[in-house]
Amino acid sequence: MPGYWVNGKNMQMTLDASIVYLTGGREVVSELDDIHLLAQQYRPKLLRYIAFTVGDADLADSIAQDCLLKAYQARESFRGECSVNTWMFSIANNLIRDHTRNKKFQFWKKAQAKSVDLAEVASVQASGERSPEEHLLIRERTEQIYKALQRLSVNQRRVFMLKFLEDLNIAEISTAIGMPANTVKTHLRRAVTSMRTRLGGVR
Amino acid sequence: MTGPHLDNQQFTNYLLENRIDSEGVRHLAACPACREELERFTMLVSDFNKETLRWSEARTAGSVVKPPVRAQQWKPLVRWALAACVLLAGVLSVMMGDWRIHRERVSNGAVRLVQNSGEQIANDNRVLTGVYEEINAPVTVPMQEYGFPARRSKADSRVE
Repeated sequence: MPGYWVNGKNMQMTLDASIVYLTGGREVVSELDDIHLLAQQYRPKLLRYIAFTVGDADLADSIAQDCLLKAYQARESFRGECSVNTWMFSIANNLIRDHTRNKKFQFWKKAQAKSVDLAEVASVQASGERSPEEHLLIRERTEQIYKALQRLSVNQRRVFMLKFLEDLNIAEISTAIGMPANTVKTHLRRAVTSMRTRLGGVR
Repeated sequence: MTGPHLDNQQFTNYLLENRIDSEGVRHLAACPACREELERFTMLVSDFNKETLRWSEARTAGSVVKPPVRAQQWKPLVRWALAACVLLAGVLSVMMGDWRIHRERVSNGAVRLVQNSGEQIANDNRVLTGVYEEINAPVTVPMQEYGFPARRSKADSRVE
């Protein structure tokens, strides 16, 4: 990857922060400097991850909003040791943890009272109209995975989602949730085995 | 079909690291049930991924994230500057008041005398003489006013 000359130093842009423009070779503006761009790129992913981790879409909305604001406010402390994507998920994980610690009782009460509405998930139209049969099929499939996910432990669910939905590798998951890589692997193996069993594996 | 179906370790290795031992490869080539299971698992997760992402995109489509207002950052500075101005004004007014009083004293002659000057010494002598005279002035005992002889106090007798 080619490097950019910034303030006389060859700064390799290893992060996946998309460079919007370079002003006179001095100032680097990344997606972190534009909260709207940040929201556009990461909000759906964050919302989904948080919603399926905490099991409450409304709460997930609020945490995702906090996550974006926190990332925007702390953008100067981002040193590029990991990708922006991983950094955002680590902020989300910290917020989820804080939330569950501080308002544990309310959180669980709320999480049990409201869960992600699968009918709503399946009812979102794709580019073309769906037939009722397709709609039903999609709902069934989504429900199958959702139910299997709900039976996993919190850590197993988090690593499974980060691996298979967010496409992070083991090192990135380890950074995002602040867990040693070997522990991540163990959780991931257990999660896959459990999912296999619940989805009706041959063994 | 060759041998038993893929065990959990082989299944997990295939999904996570995309690697499988030679025995597993042979089994997969010959076992449609295991191939179907892997394909089904991958398809279910992939469909779930697409559907849930579409859902979250639709849910966040109308919402707007408001950046924190930077303008508020100067408000504390202005407050501190105002407080500093008020304090400075207070200190200055006190200092100006003291200066005015000093000026008035000087103009009234209260501070006109210079220490150890002849005039000052004469003035001090006058004050001290006045004090001495006041102290040694004859004291009229109330009993004497009514014609009784004055009693000597114990202190006077002790002095004698």
